[in-house]
Amino acid sequence: MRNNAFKDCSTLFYIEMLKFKNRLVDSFHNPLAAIKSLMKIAFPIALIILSLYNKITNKNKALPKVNSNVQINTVGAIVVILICLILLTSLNNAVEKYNPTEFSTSDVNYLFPSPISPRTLYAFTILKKSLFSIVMGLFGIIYFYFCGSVVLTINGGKILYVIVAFFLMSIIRKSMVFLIYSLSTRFNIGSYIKILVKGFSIFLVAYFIFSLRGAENIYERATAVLNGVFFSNIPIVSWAKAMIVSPITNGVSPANQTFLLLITTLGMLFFAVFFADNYYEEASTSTEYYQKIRESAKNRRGDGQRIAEQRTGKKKKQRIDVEVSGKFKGAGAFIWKQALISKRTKGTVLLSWSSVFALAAGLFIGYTFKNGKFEAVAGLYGASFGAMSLTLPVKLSPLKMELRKQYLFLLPGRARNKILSVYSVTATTTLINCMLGTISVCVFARNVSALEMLSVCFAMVATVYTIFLAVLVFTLLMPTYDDGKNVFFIYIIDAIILSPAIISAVLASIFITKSVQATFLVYSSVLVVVIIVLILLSDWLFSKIELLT
Amino acid sequence: MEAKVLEIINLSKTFKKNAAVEGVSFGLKKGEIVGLTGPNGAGKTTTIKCILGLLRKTKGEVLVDGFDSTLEKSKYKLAYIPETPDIYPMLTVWEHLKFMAMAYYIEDWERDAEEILKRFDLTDKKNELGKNLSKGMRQKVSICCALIHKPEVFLVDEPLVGLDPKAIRELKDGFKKLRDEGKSLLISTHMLDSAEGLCDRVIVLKKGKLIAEGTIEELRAKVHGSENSSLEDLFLEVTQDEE
Repeated sequence: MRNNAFKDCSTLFYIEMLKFKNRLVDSFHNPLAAIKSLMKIAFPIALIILSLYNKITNKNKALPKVNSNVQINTVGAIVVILICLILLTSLNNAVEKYNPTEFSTSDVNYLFPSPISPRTLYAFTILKKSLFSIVMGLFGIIYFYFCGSVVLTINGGKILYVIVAFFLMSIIRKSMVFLIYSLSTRFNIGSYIKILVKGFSIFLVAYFIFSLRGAENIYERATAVLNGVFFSNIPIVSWAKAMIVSPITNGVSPANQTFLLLITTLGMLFFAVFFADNYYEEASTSTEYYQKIRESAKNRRGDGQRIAEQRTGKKKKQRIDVEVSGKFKGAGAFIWKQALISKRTKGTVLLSWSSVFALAAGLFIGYTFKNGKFEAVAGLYGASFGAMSLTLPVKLSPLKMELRKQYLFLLPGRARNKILSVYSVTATTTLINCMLGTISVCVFARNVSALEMLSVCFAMVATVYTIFLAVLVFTLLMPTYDDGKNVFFIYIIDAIILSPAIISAVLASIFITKSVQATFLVYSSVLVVVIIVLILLSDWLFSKIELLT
Repeated sequence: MEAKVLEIINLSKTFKKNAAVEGVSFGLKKGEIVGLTGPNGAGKTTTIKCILGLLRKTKGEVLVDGFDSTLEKSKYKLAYIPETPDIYPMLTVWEHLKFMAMAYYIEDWERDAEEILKRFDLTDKKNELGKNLSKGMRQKVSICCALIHKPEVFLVDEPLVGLDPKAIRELKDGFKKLRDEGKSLLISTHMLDSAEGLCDRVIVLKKGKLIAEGTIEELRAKVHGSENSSLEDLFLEVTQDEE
């Protein structure tokens, strides 16, 4: 039977519409699942509202009508670096493997064996995914528009070029990766392409470094080079850059670049579709792999590395002869185990790359706020940590993994001791990282004292510990299966558990003290009480948990 | 009458309004293997989890050597081998045993551990990380971990699912060895052909209720089956009767 591309596309479009309709119907029957889906976009929406609010409150602030060259060059340089990095890494990897992430398990199981032409399926999926990604990307673009408009003059009408650039670049990258892979496997020219990509990358870096010689101001020279004649003549990169930075430049609209990028995209997509008649093997292997990784992460099985090693056939060498000294008995066995695993995977029990990152971040913030006041630094920490504390501690909590392993239930000993032992290593690491990330600010910041930063550190540590223990309450209240309610409720539980401290801190700042440091201390002290209460209740809470899966 | 090491009396477990297990009573004698069978959703895993205290029982009693199963001393007598051998990927086989020994306050465990590994042909895998082991191997490690504190009763949930024939044979031999040492095993399974040569007695659950119990011969007599009736035939007969 002859394939009819139009009919195939209609079928695929019909399936998509059916899925959309079913999702809509399901959201009426299961509103919590719908809220869970909405939560994914809640954060960008909140950011947009926040930045919009900032824009409105700062409306009297006069911005110059034209952005300075330094501002435009900085944005342009960042865009050029990002595009070059993304394209060159994708091309380099594409020579050896094609790892499509666009297909789902149901695509592999039902659409691949169907009579729908692989070419039609490929083109449809690439376009569909690029459209979806631009919908999510829109939030980012709007957010950056509002944020950027606080310091830059932005032409709202030209935002359309940014959206089109993101959409076309998404298709170009996907098509290019597939095209390169097809060329390398069919014509056995992978090694030549790899040499070309590597050679071009080395040439770019060498040219960039060479251009910096003798510069008085390295930053200005670097941004000027990245926006200079050479980089502005690299096809695709320069066109995309011109479109992305167009809202902040005063020049004419980048219509030519848009046209060139569109023609290139169509050409690339045409050739990719032309070659797309034999990709099912790679696509199904890759889809199966990503599915396993997703399941592993979702169920916190901790076997992601094993799955990755199975696929590549390369085993990561792990030190076996690791010892943790000290006498550990009963619940202490969990401390020994955590310490041993930490030493094996990271080389040390308590320090890791995150400690180095925390130290570097603290030093950087201190340097940036060299002359800033404590209030400004505390505000920055409060805002950024507030956003992080909603997700990180829950993800880092070792309790979820231990509950899955069931030994926490089966081994003898008081639940409280076992829970504290399970948390001990992570809790100590958190304390060290928070101290490194806060106290180090004082190295450069002249107006901030170590004692003041210590109050920030206490607040951060107390928040993380509280959320760690909140996992216990969450596990007790929530079923082990996730029917859409879990993500939603964990925020509510966190909010309830943290609320006494937040309310006390707000009241203290209104009625008792104007000192930010004192407010942080009030917040931490109330959380210490909450932590003690949760620890005292932990035996009872644990006895109420049921392990369904 | 021989004393029972594990006794389940009128056990019930309800999820919201659905009864997963209803008034189930049975016991395990020392040195016997009992198969807990039943169709999907019969309540096999729920029963085992209630015995272990992983799920709270709604009604009834679970006694280990005459004591409530949730008591600390009962934990020393019980061992659980779950369906999915979820061992720690970044601990070696030997470190798993060390972890268990620490948790159970066992001194001088090394000789016993060597013995256990030898018995399950894991000596050469002693320094292998959990993430590098096959499912069959992980299942064996799970059993070795359960053995280190010398429990009396083993509760094993669907141990044969996903194993290749060689691993099934090795595992069954391992269970028989445990029985010969006087340990009692309650094995939940719906792989009846594998259970047939292994279990001394069989308990059949359906919709949370115990519908048949006894040796293969006793079940045969109950349903008037022929001498050649397999456990599968008897199972189908018993569960059909209850429709």
